Amino acid sequence: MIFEGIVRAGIYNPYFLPAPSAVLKAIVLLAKDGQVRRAFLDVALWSGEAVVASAVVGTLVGCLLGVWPLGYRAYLPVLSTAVSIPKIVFFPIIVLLFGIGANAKVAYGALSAVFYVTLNVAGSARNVDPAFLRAVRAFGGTRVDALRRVVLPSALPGITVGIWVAIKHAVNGVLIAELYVSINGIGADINRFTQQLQADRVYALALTLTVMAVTAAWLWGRVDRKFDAWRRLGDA
Amino acid sequence: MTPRPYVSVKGISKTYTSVRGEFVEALSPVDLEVYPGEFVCLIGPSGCGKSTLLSIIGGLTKADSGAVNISGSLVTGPMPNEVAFVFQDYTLLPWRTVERNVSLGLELKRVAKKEREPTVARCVALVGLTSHAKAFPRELSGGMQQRVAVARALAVDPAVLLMDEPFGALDEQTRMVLGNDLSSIVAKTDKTTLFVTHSLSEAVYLADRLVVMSASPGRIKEIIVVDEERPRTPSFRTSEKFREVHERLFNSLRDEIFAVGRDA
Amino acid sequence: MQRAAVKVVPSRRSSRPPAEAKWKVRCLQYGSLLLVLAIWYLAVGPGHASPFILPSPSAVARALPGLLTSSETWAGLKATGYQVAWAFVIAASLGLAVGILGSRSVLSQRAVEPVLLYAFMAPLILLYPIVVLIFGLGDSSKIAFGVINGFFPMALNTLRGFAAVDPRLLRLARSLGATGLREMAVFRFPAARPMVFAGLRNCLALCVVAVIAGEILGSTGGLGYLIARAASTLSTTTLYGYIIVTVALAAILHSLLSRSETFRDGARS
Repeated sequence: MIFEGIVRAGIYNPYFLPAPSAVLKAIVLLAKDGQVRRAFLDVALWSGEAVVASAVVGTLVGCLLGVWPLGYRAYLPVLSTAVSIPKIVFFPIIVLLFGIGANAKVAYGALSAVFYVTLNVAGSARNVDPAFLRAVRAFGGTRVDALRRVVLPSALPGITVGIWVAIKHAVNGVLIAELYVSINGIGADINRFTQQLQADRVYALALTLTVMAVTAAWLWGRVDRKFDAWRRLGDA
Repeated sequence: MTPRPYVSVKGISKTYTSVRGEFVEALSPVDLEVYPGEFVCLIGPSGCGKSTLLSIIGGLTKADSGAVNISGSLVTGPMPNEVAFVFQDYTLLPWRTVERNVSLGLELKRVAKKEREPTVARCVALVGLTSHAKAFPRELSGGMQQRVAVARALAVDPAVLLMDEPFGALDEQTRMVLGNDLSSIVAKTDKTTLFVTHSLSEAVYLADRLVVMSASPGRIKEIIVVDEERPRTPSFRTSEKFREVHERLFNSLRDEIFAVGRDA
Repeated sequence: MQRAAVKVVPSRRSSRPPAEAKWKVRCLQYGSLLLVLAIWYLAVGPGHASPFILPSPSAVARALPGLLTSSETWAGLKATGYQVAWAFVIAASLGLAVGILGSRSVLSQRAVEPVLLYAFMAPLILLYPIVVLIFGLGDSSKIAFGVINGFFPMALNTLRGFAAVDPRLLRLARSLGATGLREMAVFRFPAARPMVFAGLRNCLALCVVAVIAGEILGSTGGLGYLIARAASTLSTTTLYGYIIVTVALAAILHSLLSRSETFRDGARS
């Protein structure tokens, strides 16, 4: 495909490691371009949606499995295997289902992330200290009470870690989708720049996207820290 | 003729800086002499430095001043050939069986397998765990795990046994049984032993001499001699001699014990 | 010195209900599978989902044998397997080395872990065009990409595993005079083993994903290429067939890894 084109043209390395100053200039240049800015924000938006979707589904299923020992034992191997299946194999199906618009990208991002969230939440919800459940029962609480006051807090670390991992996979997934089937988005830009051998712009986009993902993760890390000051035994 | 001391502690002191930046004198200069084959108990309230002293004697912690000599050689670091530790938290390797845990020290001394096996079997038998030799620590009760720790210490045939509240995490009855067994084993193998404990009755039951320590700063307050043959028998616990020594010990510690509750 | 040989089993999870019966677990797993198959079957019934997107299970089942015996499929399997194997071995070794080295001191831990963490978070797919530019389109670019993806989780897990060894065990090591390599082998490595294996599992998963992604995007060979080709020619039955083959490959690789984990592992259940 695109890359075959490059190789066939027989161009080799000198063009492909641009100086940092060139990259920075390219960043400034692209930032001025309204369309590139919009495309960048689109990717950010889709990643966010993918994270939210995977977080919601993952938390629900994860909590369910956490409190259902039979289910946990039965589906844990399934989930572990699912995580190691390259979700990209389902990409053509997703495109067939959702077309080549935003929905496909969000869906693929969510699909990439959801199993990680589920695994983390399930593992964490499972570690409910039975002593707490007993305490709730002893004080006359219902099962819903137990769920809210014991299971959910117990699952919280898993949820926060899960979302942290989800950010990585969702962004990665959305970008994979972009590289494959984008017309006007970041993916198309990257492909175009690669074809035109404008390595500085390729790096510029890659760098800003990376910064976005890493910043999101870092911010989430701070939120996470506020959440469980009570839980901190030492370093993460 | 007075026997020469086996363990000689002279002028040992140790100061810590607490989290708040204060200086805590864990040990103000301490002198102690332990004779070969003796069973000495270090007893005192929390913070009197008994565990620190033990750790320094064994070379795990460096003192700020003074020197420790074991059998004439200066202690500068851990001496796995002379000294064996038994800690309160058993620290058995969870991935090894009882046998393999006991043989750990020997393996690290590069003793060949053929030589190790009989020693290991002997030590395991000594603590009465032959039927569990192939079990894993998580399958054992607390008392049994501690027996393994003792067996492991014995396997390297050290001259000195340093035990830091080894029975601290166990219930009263197990403590008594283990204390009894320890007394027999140590007498039989003629080890010089330093034993740190909180429990007065345990100290009186086991020791030849009781080194009573007090806190702030950590120092030796008094040394009480227990004049009774070892190995001790259960009947010793109810004897008049036991009661006397116990009372003496209690009086010595009374102020410390009850002072700890009240904040200065 | 007689004492009753009572074998106490103080399980740390003694208050959790006993593990569910194996047959129940199997029932649930196969039951769910049957349910999914049933839904699939119904979905392609008269006029529900387009046979383009969702071929009927029977059509896929019919296509499978042909696929499995085709030399093309096997060539693809070999290519992908080769790339994954290399990527995994390199990524795992590098990750192990970096993880162990990074765990030596608190200072190095504090320096290395954040770097690994944030590199892990980067959308590594972006590096793929660059990797191709450096390595060309052949096997080596897929392997390189696989290594980049698999290295970070392995290094992170190894680092954490070795850094978090119970200090009481290390104190024991010191008291027994074990230092350096001996301490590492006898004390640290076995203690860190669970984390190291978790790292290996993550590494394998990401290597597989990365290699196949590389094959799809940079079509030259391997299962990814076959999938991409089936997708672009809209032969969905073949597509699903290849997907099943890929899933099977991933599952087999992982079960091999799990086997090696429980090998000689009597201490943990």
